[in-house]
Amino acid sequence: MTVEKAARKLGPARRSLWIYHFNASGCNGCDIEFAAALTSRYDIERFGAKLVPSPRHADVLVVTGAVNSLTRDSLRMIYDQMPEPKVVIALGTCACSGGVFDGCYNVAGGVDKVIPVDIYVPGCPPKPDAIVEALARIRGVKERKAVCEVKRGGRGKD
Amino acid sequence: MDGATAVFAALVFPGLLFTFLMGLFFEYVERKLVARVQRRIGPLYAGPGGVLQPLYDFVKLLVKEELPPEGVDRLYYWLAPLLAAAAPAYGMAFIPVSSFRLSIDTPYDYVFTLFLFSFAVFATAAAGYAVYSPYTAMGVGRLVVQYSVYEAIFASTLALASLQTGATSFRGLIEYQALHGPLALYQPLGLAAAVVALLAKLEKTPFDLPHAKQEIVAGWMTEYSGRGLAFLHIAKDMSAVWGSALIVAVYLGGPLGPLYGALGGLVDAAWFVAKMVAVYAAVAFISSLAGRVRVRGLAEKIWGALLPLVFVQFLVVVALRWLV
Amino acid sequence: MGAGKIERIEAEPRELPAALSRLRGEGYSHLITITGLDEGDSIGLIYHLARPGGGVAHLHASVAKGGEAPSAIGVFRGAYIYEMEVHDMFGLRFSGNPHMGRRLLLPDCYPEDEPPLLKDTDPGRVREKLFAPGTVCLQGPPVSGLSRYSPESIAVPFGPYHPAFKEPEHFTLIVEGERILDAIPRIGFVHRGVEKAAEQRSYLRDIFLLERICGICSMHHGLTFTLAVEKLLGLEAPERAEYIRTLVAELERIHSHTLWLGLVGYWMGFETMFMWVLTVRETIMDLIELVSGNRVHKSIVTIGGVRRDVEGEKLRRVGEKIRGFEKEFSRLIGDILSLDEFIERTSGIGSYTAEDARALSTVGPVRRAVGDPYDIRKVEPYCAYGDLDFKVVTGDRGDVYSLVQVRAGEVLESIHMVEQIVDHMPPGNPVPKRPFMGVVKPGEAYARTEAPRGELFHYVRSAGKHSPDRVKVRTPTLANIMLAAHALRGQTVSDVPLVITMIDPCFSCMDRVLVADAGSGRRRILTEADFHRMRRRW
Repeated sequence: MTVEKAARKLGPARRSLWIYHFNASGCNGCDIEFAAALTSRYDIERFGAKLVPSPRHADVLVVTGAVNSLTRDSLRMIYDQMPEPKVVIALGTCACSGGVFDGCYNVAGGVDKVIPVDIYVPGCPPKPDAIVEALARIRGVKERKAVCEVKRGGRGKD
Repeated sequence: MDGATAVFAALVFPGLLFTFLMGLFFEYVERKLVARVQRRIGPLYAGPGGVLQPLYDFVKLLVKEELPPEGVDRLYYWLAPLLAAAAPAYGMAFIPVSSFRLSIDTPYDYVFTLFLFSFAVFATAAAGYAVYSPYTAMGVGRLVVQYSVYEAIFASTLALASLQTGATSFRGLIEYQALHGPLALYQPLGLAAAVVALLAKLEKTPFDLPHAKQEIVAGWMTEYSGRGLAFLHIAKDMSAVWGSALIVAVYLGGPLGPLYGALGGLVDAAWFVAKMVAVYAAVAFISSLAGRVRVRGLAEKIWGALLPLVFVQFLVVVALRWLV
Repeated sequence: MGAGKIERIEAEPRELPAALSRLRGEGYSHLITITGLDEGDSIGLIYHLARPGGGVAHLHASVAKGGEAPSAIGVFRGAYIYEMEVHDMFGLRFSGNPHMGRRLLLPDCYPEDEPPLLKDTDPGRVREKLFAPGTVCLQGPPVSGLSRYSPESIAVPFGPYHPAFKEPEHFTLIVEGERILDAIPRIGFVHRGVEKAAEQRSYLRDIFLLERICGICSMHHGLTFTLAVEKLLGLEAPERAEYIRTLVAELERIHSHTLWLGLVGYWMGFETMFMWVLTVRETIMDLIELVSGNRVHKSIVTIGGVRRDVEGEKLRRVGEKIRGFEKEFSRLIGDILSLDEFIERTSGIGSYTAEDARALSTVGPVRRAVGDPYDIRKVEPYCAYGDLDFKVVTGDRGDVYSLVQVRAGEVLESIHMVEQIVDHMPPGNPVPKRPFMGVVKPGEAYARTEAPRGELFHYVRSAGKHSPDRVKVRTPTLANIMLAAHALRGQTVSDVPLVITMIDPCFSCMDRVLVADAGSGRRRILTEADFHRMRRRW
């Protein structure tokens, strides 16, 4: 029930999820899948989600990758710069637990070693569908149709 | 015009409240349109078709915690967003949206608009200056450069309109257009130049240099959060309304149209709003199909391409005056 | 073949520059990398040199632990970055290299006395030190002494942190107005410690670990490592397996290049182009998922073959869909390349010369964009590339625009290769009976492949155990990053994103084991005092 708890915490902000994305030392896999979730096939803007360039504008912090010695302090700082209410999503196995890099000398482990995490989205990397589902559940939308490709107007598969 | 009407004009219609609601609607139109160009859907679940999304965004920012960074200039930090939002709302109060004369109507209101323009930019620059970080510094620097570049064009196109009609007030402009048809028929080049200058004024791509996120984070907005950010956001949306309203009033005949004056001015207002939305949709469409210009290319793009247009338009206007 | 056992040429440490210069005279003009090895009492250095036309030489020298070796920067300008890496990892110093005082990959707080790749360094102990409460590892780059540039200059931290912007790395830009006077890169934010971790896992698990060096060229890491291990084992994969590997490798190249093209749009503030290109790219992601079962980390390569076969029906669908993709992609790229605005934003931006490209030992499309047809697929064909008909796409101008042209051309070539593979897939069983779980007899081997970003080099050494004794990875981005810093000087801030991404940087690759976000630190990097000083000046 953690997702529902996070949604309650966000209150009115759950209808307008502004996301700041932070790569804590990921391999890019989660990052490109997250980027894919922004594009036409998945389009998380349907839920009012959009990317913001500054953590001060954000409601949701999406962290990918395990935390290493250099990102640890940055992550803390970013988290502190975000205004309340805020929610942290650990995206991908590395962000959840350290994953395959757990035990490496420069890796502290999952994101929850540094800041409190509200929602874990495991997978290596999680498919965009999983990201869409997480956001849809925060938003409280029943229809969980992940793929929403616009078929009209435009090139390609018309 | 008595005081009560003026206050109503400034605060309700066509001033603050009307501008605010239109601003939210404009943002929705833009987001949907851009999404469609990009083969996406855009906001969908907030209200019917997602139309309430901008309102939700605004309300959320209002109730969010405000985290001013250390070392801000308190006065500017609080005041600037309010001023930035006030400028377009006040500017709208002069626009003749409907024949039911509710707007503030003075002999020189058209000229006064130019002053309000620079005031709005001053407010934004002050917002950036209140916090000192490299990004806000570069953002404000770019904002001021951009302002100095597009303002020359915008001001001269407005002056051309004044030159042809001999009007210094919006009332005069509308009366002229009621007699001779929309100014766009005589000044198509001026209209084109004004639309491009509007793109720059609204900081839309290709002229979104002051908050280019790939280069300088969020530019002058970087350090704002909560209420301040809410006001800066709504100020942008309201500026979009104001800018489109100016173009409609100056070039497209304002509230004029079939059934002008019917239903106590409701029809005119509907005409005006429809034209505004069309203008803004065109702006958003151009913007969605463009990449950002480089800082060096800014003056070249705007001056190099638009000044000749404005100059040719000037010759045409002079010729028209001489002929007529 | 793109892999081989290593025959060392021995040299004394002090003779290194002379020996390198002699080899260069013999045509070995491309320094691939410098591998460090813990040889017990001493540190071994292997300089891997390549001839542009094919052939690799390995020059070996032993230096005492904590000792000093002469720097090779007099012979190869680009050598300094590899020397910094060896310095970080083994604690060796190179006399004559001006950058010995700084860290390249490791955080500044890393304990001086425990270079990570020495055998007796225990990762657990290092970890305890690094993550002890109170240790602050994030330190600002040197921003004092700005006045040496000019009184008006300010330091703008350029810490990438945007999601669509794959990942973060840090550049400190010294700017005067909009003009960049200097760019100081600081990498290592994504350093995780993969090379060390690879020594502690079995060969089979290493494939999965190394794939996670990078999510974009993931398959190439697994493949290159596997090729080197197969060379050590004297094993050859069945022909069908080689074809399937090639198929996935080319799909990966298409996905990587299209992602980059989309990001070019994003970086120039043209988000619509980003959305369009990424929409088209989804077709390729579908194909990768169809063939390998995964979208990102394909995990299809295994020692002695592939992990799953691609049957007839699937192949047919690959062939069908790739043709559809070709049409969509050609139309889209044609539209984009003819946009005046696009040409203006990319043409002549970040330009560099063929000289620079060669002297800095750059690889991949960056090198080919100045007309140098250096492509491992042709130079040392591996997998099925020897049987395939394709040409090496080159450009002639060395700027962002010609890089776009080169990469777009490569996508089309890759599409043709995929079509050929679909048509000529040899029969047989490509899946080994059981996964390789054994011991590899002592020896050392290298493998290199043409990853989407350029030549990827793996060195594997076995000491006859279940896990490798040393794995060294040289990723294309590390070879190219210095070119980006070089090309940044004199550009404007508007062009920074484009110039940095022009090499298609993959920082998690480069930092191998490293990954971090500089975005965080971005606005704290200037100290309070700096702010006040600047504020007064303004």
